[in-house]
Amino acid sequence: MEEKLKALKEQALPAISAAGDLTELEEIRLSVLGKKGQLTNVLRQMGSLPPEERPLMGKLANEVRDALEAALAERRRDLVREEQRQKLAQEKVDVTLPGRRPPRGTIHPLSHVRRRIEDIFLGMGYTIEEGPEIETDYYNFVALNLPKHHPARDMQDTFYIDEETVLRTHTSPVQVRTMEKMRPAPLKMICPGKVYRKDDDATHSPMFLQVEGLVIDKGITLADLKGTLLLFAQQMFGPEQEIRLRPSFFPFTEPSAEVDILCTACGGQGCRMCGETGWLEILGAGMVHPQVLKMSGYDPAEVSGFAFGMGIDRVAMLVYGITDIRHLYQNDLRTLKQFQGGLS
Amino acid sequence: MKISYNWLKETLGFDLSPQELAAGLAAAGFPVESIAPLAPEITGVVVAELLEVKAHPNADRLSLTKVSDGAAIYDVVCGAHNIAQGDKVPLAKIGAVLPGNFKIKKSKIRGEVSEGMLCSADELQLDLVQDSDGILQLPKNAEIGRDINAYLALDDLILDVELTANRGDLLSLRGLTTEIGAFLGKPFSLEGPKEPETVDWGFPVSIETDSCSFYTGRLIKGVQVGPSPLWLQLRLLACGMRPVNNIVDIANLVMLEWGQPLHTFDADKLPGHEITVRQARAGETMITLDNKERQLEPSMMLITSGGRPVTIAGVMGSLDSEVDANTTNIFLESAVFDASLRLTAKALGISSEAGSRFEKGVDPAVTAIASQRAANLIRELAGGEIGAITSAGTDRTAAWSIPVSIAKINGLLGADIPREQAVSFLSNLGLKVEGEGDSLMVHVPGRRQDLLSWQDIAEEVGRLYGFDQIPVSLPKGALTLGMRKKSQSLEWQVRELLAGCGLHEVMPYSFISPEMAEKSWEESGVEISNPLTREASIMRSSMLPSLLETVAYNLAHGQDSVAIFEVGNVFRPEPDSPLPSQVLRVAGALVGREPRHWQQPVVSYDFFALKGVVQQLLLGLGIEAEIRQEPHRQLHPGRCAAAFAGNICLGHFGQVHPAIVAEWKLDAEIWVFDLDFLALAQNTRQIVQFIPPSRYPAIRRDLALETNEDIAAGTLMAIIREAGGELLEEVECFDVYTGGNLEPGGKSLAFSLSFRHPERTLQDKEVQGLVDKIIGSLEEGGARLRS
Repeated sequence: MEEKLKALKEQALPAISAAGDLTELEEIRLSVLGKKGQLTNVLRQMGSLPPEERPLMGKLANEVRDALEAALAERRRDLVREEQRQKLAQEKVDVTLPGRRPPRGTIHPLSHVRRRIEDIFLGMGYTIEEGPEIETDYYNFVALNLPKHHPARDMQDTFYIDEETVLRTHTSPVQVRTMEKMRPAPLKMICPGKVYRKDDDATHSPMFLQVEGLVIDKGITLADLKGTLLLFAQQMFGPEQEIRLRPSFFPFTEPSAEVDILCTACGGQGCRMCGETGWLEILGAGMVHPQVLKMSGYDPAEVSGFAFGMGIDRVAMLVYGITDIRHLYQNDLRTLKQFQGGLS
Repeated sequence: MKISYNWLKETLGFDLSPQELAAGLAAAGFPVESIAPLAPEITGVVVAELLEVKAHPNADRLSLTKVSDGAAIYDVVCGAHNIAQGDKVPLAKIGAVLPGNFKIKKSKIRGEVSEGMLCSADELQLDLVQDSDGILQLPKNAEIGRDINAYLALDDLILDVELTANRGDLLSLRGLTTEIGAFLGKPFSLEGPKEPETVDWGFPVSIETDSCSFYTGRLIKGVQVGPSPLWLQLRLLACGMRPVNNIVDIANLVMLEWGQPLHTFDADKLPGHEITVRQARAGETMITLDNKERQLEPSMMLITSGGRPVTIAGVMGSLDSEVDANTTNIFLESAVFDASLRLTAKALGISSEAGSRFEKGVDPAVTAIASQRAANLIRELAGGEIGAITSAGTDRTAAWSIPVSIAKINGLLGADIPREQAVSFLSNLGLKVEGEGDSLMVHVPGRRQDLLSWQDIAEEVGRLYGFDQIPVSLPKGALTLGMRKKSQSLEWQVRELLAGCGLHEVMPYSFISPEMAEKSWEESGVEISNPLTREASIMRSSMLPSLLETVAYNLAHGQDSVAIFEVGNVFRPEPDSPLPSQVLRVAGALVGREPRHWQQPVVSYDFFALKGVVQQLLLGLGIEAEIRQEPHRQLHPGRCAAAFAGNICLGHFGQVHPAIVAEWKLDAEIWVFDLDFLALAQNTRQIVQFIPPSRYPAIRRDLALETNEDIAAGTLMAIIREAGGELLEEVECFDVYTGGNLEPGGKSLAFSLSFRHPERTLQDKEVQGLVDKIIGSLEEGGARLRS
């Protein structure tokens, strides 16, 4: 009997390892360990053994059973694994094929830049104000210290609807309207929006976007203007930025300045883009003219203020490396599709 | 303003290089736009004397000359006829290079050796006026052998200084030298001319208008009109002006020096022996120098003589009073006209150096000085006897003084400039400063008409101190809330949502062409009275023309799928309001095929793609809207709808009317939406009232209905909802079917219904009761269960 058990083990173990799939393995299991299997057959002969040999034989039979069951389990595990491996191999996809994504459009580059500028000033506690694009001559010019026939009106070539109505040439009329509404309270605002001037070339568009800012309070100084614009420039163009103020003239500010930033192409070394100066002009600014304060109901003896204005287009062109402003208004999808993501 | 670098340098005596000067001017607020050489590069040309001129043996038109440069004598063949022995002329020696890289070589001309070339002004590219054509005649005292560049100062540079509109005083040598002097810490004041000896011929002048505050004139008799001397012509060229004749050139030179425009008349051509300054009368005409007959308006100021207009004051003279080559007696005008002439010049389309100075303000203190200076020069260069000045009006300006304190100046600038320094800045600018301690009284001269308030004075101090020296700080007021208003936030949300639907934001111009308006069936927009072009002359009254133009552009540039949106204003006349109405719209267009995907069949944009975008937008904004069939005159009558929030129409969407698309010569179904931003903003739901999700299961039932085509799915949906009541949680239309075995004109719709009770499990019986009720209502509404 001992030989039979050993022989059974010797025969079954290679058969188990050789089983090609789970069905075959199950067949082997039934033929060896099943109710009518070979092991059961051998054990039936136990009764014919002398009683003292029985425990010994019983132990041996259990060892054989355990060994076979372990071998079966191991083989089953391997076969399951292999089956799964094959299934997964068949399920492989080409991950480089396009995904079924919901379509994704874009926000206009000028909107990206406008939002970034807005966010910088919101962070400094400014409100955002808006106003009409078709404006009265009064709000666009007169209230800004530009009476009719003032030669400085030539600085901004204007579209007229009629004698008293213009396409606003800057967003300054929004400043005036807001001052009239808020006086005599302090004011901290920006006004972004479309403006119109009779100009059309690579750097001028007859419609463009501008953002202006205005702060009115007690004790506002030119130094505050410098600090504010420096902070803006560093947030917009990078922490290394510097600004430079050059005296200038605007009828609505006194003193007035043109403001340059370090050239975004060369960082101030001088290159073709900045005409070898190392600086790029990006905005006009100044201390609000006492006449403008007075006309809008503030007392220039009590408060002072600063104002600034810049072309959002100009900033966008620098940020994105656009050299012809007309790209911004051409609305060519090949252009627009490039502006995925945002500015932050 | 263009001015000669050498002239500034000689007058002020500084040692700045042109680049240093330009940098200084820029820092003062007046950037130099360009620095251009007076003359192109010329090498190897010297002053030479003609020793001999004789005929060329083989050519009638040529001469043989011997010329000397002091070191050697050269044989030169010359083709010009204005030369004679003893003349001083420019000689281009062998090896010389003339403008245009024209190299002079030794040559033989008709058998005669020529060791160089005598040069004309043209050959040196100098725009000079001469008595006779041909070789440039240099003054008899010219030093022979001298390089022509050095002799004529051709190395001078023309600085083009960009001046600000408030600084008319800088449109002169006088103003610029004063300003530069102040920046160099070297106060400067241009010296006035000597008083000329005069004869009193009497020539009455009078003023009959408010636009002329001071008028002076004088007769100068016996002048000889001819070309100016070279130094004067070259000076004008170095200031960007062209020489004409000695009288005109002198007037221009004095204007450049003093900023006072002058005018000269041929006195013998004046209709009367007097001058009157007055406004034009209706119907008057005059032929101006440019030989155009001008209709004069009462807004225009005239210089008249004997009742007839002889000049449109400060703008342009009359053809028949002009100084010409035969003039011997002149009348010299120096006057102050006010800025109203700007409108005259604009109306007539004449811009002039004189006009630009008058409109920015001329200092009456120099009106007589300029007249004297010009008279002296005329006598020196053209001969003649000078008449006494006659005048009307006053040369006095109401001199004004501005009180200011150092504290105020520093308070505005945010700086800490000491009193002494501030005072010295102001004095260097030629302002008289008085006062003790912190308080100053600044006396402003007439030439600085831009200085009116203490803030102007603060600016002058700041400019001279240097804006770069001003420290940096931030406003110190109370903390303020920096936050977008609700509608401003929504505008960005709209952009994000539409971009999330695959649409690209566009930014077309607000102005369109009449053709675009017409072929889009636009209602009247707002017209621009002075458009850049006709193509951009109307402020659009709807978004449609801009959308169509953008679609057309992109289709023409090879796109087969266009999905765009815009957030922008439209404009409409508003008869009883000071301004047209300006309404913010959110609009978009879909054209062509949807973005392709390899797993899916190609689908073209259609009504439901469009509706999906609109619904996605409304959903994203939290707007509960009802979509109804609603006609719109620019849309396909069967394929258009409107979104309503209650009674408020949020806007329309649908297919652009095929007739409009045909007018645009496009061949596509164009799907557009156009929503009112304000209406959207007013109907967004900001706060959600939370309902806890039910713990009990839902029961689903599907209904397949048959009905006729005229009955809208929405109508059936509403019937189902109404009959289903509160327990009906969701209805969804999941299939639509026409044709097949249905009766003609019939359609089949399938709805999926989901019932749920918030507090208990629903019984099948209850649900069946509701379904039966729903079916009953549907039957009344014209739909029956499909068998």
